Amino acid sequence: MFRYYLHLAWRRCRQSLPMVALLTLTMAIGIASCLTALTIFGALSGEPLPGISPHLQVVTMDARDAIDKDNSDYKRPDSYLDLIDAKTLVDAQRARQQVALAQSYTRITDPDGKHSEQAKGLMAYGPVLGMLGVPLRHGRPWTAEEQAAQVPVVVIDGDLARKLFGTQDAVGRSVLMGGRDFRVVGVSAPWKPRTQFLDLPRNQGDVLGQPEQFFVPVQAALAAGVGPLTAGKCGKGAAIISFQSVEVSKCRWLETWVALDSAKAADAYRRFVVSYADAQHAAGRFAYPPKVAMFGVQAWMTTNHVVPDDVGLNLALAGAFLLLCLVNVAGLLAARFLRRQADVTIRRALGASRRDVFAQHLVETAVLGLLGGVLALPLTWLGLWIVRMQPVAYADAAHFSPMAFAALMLLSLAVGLVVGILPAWRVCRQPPAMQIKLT
Amino acid sequence: MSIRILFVTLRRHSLMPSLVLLQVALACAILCNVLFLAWQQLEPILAPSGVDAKGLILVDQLNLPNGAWTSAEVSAGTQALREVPGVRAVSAGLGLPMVPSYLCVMALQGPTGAKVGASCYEGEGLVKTLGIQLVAGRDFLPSEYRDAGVASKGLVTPLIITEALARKLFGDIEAVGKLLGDPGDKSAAHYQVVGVARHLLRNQLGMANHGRADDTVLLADRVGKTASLSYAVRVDPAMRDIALGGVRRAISRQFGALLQAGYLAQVSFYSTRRDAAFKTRRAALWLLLGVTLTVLIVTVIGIMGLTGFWVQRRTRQIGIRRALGARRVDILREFMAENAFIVSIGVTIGMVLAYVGNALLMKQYELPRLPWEWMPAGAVLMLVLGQLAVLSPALRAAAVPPVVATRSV
Repeated sequence: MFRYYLHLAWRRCRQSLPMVALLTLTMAIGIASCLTALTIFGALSGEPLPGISPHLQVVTMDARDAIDKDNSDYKRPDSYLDLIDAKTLVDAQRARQQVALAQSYTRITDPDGKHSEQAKGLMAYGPVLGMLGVPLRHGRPWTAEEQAAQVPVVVIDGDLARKLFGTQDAVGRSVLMGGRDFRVVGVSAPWKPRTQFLDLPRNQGDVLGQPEQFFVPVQAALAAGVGPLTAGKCGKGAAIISFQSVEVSKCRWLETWVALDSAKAADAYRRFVVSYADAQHAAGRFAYPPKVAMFGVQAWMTTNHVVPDDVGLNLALAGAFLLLCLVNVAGLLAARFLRRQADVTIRRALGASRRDVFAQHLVETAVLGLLGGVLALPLTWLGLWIVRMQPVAYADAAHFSPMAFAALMLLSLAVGLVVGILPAWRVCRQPPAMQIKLT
Repeated sequence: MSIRILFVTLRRHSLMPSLVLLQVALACAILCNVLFLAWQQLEPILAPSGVDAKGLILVDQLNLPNGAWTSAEVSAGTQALREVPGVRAVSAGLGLPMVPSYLCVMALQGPTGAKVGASCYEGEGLVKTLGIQLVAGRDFLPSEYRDAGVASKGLVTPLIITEALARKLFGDIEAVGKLLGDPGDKSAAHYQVVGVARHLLRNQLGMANHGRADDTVLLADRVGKTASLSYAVRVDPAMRDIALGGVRRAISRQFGALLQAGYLAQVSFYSTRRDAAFKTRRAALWLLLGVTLTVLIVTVIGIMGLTGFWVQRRTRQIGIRRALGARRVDILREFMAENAFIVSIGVTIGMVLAYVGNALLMKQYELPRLPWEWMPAGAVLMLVLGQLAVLSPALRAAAVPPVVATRSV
């Protein structure tokens, strides 16, 4: 019977091509716009580092060391600490793992000075590679001893190693950073988080994670003249704005991230930070009550508006638009089915049950829905292409994925069925006798 | 008579009208919100800049590694730019129109108690260099300029504000010569208005909406020691391209060797900056207009399709009414009235939906409340659209001859 209904649906579609084109096109536009918005939303939501970022939390507090008359309120949680506080928190080893880090951007040159590259990387205090799950291709991360002794060592990523040395295995070689030789102890696989969440003040405007091309211990870097991208928040007496400055002793410029496995551990850690911060406030190092707060990665990204509002807005809009298209198609389908009431009544008079008529019409709308899905495929592709052309930070997220294709087919089938229920129900309610009398 | 027929028909056959109604309600809700979003993108683009854009060159991104430019370096730069052929005026500035790399913001409180947060531009001779039109008062006197960033305890700072700001802070009172306070420190008056500009678009473009585009203040500050440096350069419009090249060369001669590695000074016309600054807005605007257009088309097609079907089903009924003496225009009017009735109910629901939708979006995102005026505007748009969409089926209905009444189908 199903095959017969399919056959019927096909024949009916061929009978009224303009109408079918209109119906499928409307569905396709609705599906395509929804799927375009969904693809981008999907790419930007979710964990930046699957399996790792759910355990990460950032420490925030009001750690200003002097009263600031112009801005006495602490409006937004502040993740920047100075080197002393960040170091103390990391050295305390109260979490499973802890790292203080800051975004840096510097020139890295090979010893001959032939190849050189402006690279983005992290200055870190603590086991940054292990905590963020950065995979190593060669070598090892720096050790606690090297960090303590401020040995100039660095981990660079495979792409940078190839650019500088022509080979990925650059372990044991040295590179010039800020006028000093750093020994490459490890080569990491090219790594970036799916979305940006580390050191957001210095990565403003980024939505998608950017590759971190090198990892270097903080103190060794500072000693060599490699500083963070911006100096961070500096007290009076330090430069107001300075790029890649190493004069950061009066500044708060490092973010402290910790890995905590359970809510209980998180609570205990928060209490530890509160007591530390309160002690600093009592000792006069912090001018204001510290107002310590810990943020998980998702909450931190939301607080800092990493994913722009228009991503969600567009999804809401596309959803509403799809709904409008559904109502529209339902109306047109009802008109289409009811126009052929005579056929239905004859079938009914010949013994078809309501259920048969219902099934037949539902098959027809499902076929139309799938046709709409097929049509939506190029339209979605077009939609994503348009997004890629847009001057937005998330343009690179607009790529068609196999997941999206599966979602598309499911969505179109669902659309076809949902849209068909009302008209099919309406048409199968026709009593047979009435129509025969009329005709 | 015809009104009763209308109601009876609608009650008997409720599927088609209710689908039209639902469509109109949804479309109305979407359109109100989309058009409001589009307006927010459009507002800063439409706002008058207040500067003379012809022959205005902006220079910024002069970033020094580890430290700040000295006053001498800043004025040497100004001098070098003055010597470029075609240049008429040069000002070193902190915070310049369309240059968001440095933001200067301040809070003002007027005698009425009104508080306004404003963007500020600092620099010597900005009125002349930017080509700002003053409608009242005067430009700063050379003696009024002080070094930027140096604290001014107890001094009353002269200000030039815009007409829009004057209205917000003083109401209808003449602003020139009046004092303004700082809401953060109510002990004394801090500022005195010396001049009023017609317009001056702020460089915080994200806040240049809801009538806040002109909340801009000029400060009598000379750029002294500074980490971030920018210049406004007015050139002869007839020589603008030659002058641009000259300014570029002067900047790279003066600052090139000192700049942070990997950073390049930006030297471009105001119009170029404006295009770049509004690029994302324009793109978003096109997207929203595309959505609007698609929603309109889909709705029109829906209404036409459903009404067309309805006309077809009621052909016999129309024939009978014609045979009983109804004129063509009566039938036409009946379908138009019916559509107007259905659409009216639809837009009423739609306005509620628009409000609810906006409230939901406000909860999720930083979005302002939909002003109520937008909802009747959307409703009227839908009504006109409905009448247009129904025109063709209604004309077809009016063309039904009375003789149809005598046929059996």
